[in-house]
Amino acid sequence: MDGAAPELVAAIGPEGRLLAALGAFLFAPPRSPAAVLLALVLAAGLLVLLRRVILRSRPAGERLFRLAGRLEMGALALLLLAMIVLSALQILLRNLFGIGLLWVDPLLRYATLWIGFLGAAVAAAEGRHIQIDVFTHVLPPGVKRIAGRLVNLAAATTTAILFTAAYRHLATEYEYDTRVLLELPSWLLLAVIPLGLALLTYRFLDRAITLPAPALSPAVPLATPAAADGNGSPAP
Amino acid sequence: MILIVFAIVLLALLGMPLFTVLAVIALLFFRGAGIDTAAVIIEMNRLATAPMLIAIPLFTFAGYLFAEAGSPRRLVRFSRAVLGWVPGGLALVALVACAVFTAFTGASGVTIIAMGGILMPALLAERYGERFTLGLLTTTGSLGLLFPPSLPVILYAYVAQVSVDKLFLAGLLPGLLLILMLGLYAARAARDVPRHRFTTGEVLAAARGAAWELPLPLAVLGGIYSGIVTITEAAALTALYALVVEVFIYHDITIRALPRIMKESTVLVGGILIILAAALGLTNYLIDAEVPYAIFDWMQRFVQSKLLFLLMLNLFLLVVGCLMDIFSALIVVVPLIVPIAQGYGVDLLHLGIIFLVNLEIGYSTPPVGLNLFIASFRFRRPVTELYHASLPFLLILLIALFIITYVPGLTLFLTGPAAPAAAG
Repeated sequence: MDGAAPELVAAIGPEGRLLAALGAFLFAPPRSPAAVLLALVLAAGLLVLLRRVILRSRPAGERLFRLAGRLEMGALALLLLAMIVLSALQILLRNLFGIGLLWVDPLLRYATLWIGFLGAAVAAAEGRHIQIDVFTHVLPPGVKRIAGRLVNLAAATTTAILFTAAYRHLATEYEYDTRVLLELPSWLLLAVIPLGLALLTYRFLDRAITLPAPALSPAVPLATPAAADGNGSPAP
Repeated sequence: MILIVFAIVLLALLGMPLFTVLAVIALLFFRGAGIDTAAVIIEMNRLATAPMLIAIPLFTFAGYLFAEAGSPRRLVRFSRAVLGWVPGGLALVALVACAVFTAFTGASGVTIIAMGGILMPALLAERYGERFTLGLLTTTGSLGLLFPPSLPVILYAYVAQVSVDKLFLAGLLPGLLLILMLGLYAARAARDVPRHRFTTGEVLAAARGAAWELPLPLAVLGGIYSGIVTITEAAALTALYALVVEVFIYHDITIRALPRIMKESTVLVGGILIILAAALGLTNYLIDAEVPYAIFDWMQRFVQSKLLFLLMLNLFLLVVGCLMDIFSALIVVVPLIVPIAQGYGVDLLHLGIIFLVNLEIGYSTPPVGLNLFIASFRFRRPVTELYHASLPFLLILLIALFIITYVPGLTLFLTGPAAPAAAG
């Protein structure tokens, strides 16, 4: 009933070497939360610094980050496209042939999770997270800048702590070797949670340091200039 | 302790992303209760167990496609051909077109941006008052939130665990009431505006122009109201249909533009889902700690009647509605209010419609309603001017809100009371 998918899974999947190596690399020696936190903060901080240095030095660097933005955009677009195609296919199969692929529905649910966390990371890059906008309209510009740094720093701290918790959770899933759909390990399907949180930490840290102008509102993408240039990260 | 609370409140008011605020509170609570902080993450996994949530990225994408394509123009032309001859015709067109558009895009800011640019000059050219026009376009931005396939309805159904199909059905009459009341006001305000003649030719031409898009709202509304398709099926079909029609039939959207539009819609989806992810842990903790029940017990000392509770709920939600956007308000406030409302014997479907209409009004309520700022940005007018302009519309919406709140029959006439069914 599942067609070609199981063979594909068998190649890269649970018994496949690629996935096993990745799992072992990520989780095999148990790591302390402090070490995980330190690694994340170092990586994010390094990336922020690197980005500033590269962006300032030459146009090639700018192109590099534009490429990264394109990749991010491409990944999200692919996920969404896959969701549209798979869900439509499922309806077609169900209504025309009375059959359904068992792995499609759970896969769609995980795709939603992936879109959610990766989309949230891009939202952070563009300063379009939903927030309570009470003071921001009335503060004087100087205070607003300081507040902006403070708020982004606090957000980065939060996502960093969440990241360590997410890593710990995934390590447990790895240890118990939980399989979800198509024999895929649950840690792989849930990996977007720490991945998204790591990206969020990097973006918030970046904004705390570079502090670009805030977007008008999360609800109006059509109006923000950042939306038009096709590049996820507004250049400083 | 007080210092921490103060710091969190301050950071939240200074614009710390709401999901991080919720996460911090959840982390502190879990820590205080001696629960492993990984519990916050385990709650996040639950996002991948809810079939209903699949509809959110799919509908959002379809809405963004329509917003960037020529659909607003075609929709306005068609509604104008059909409704233009009525007194206040163009204003009515604006109401209906905005309602349909908001139902599909979910976030009302998009409606003001996409529709405002077409409707504003048209209304002014027909000599509708400027203040009337501004008020109309600002407040109608949120009209239509009650009709399928509106995202806030789906979110409420998920959070409150009611049937989403029933909730859409429950919203039908209240939604029509809102449009009717604003339509009557528009007709009255437009007494001096010249009317159009109704010509079959223009109706046909406009219908031909929008031939591929017109069936969609009807199909989605009909399919969901009748229960032929589930909300996720409707979402999948709408997204695919929108993609094919706008890219390959109308050629309004180039394939090159597609990844950007897809990314845009996922950014909105991410913003909503991550709040949901962060809030799941927090609200679950609060419910486990029986906080809503404690509030209910405490409230019962002062508020005995259901009517008084509903009045307080209205006032509370108006404040919430102008502080928070509708998605986060639904996600954070609904789980805590549901047990209290049940204590007072309020039906959960009725509660949902009260919530949505309330928050819809909060969107345009001074001083911080989001619609006011978006309209101010879009029409290049000072926000204070929009406060004035939207005032009469707000009054009408408030009257409608009170009717909806105190006449539960309006909501429950078509559905009957909510069964305590699990969400689908």
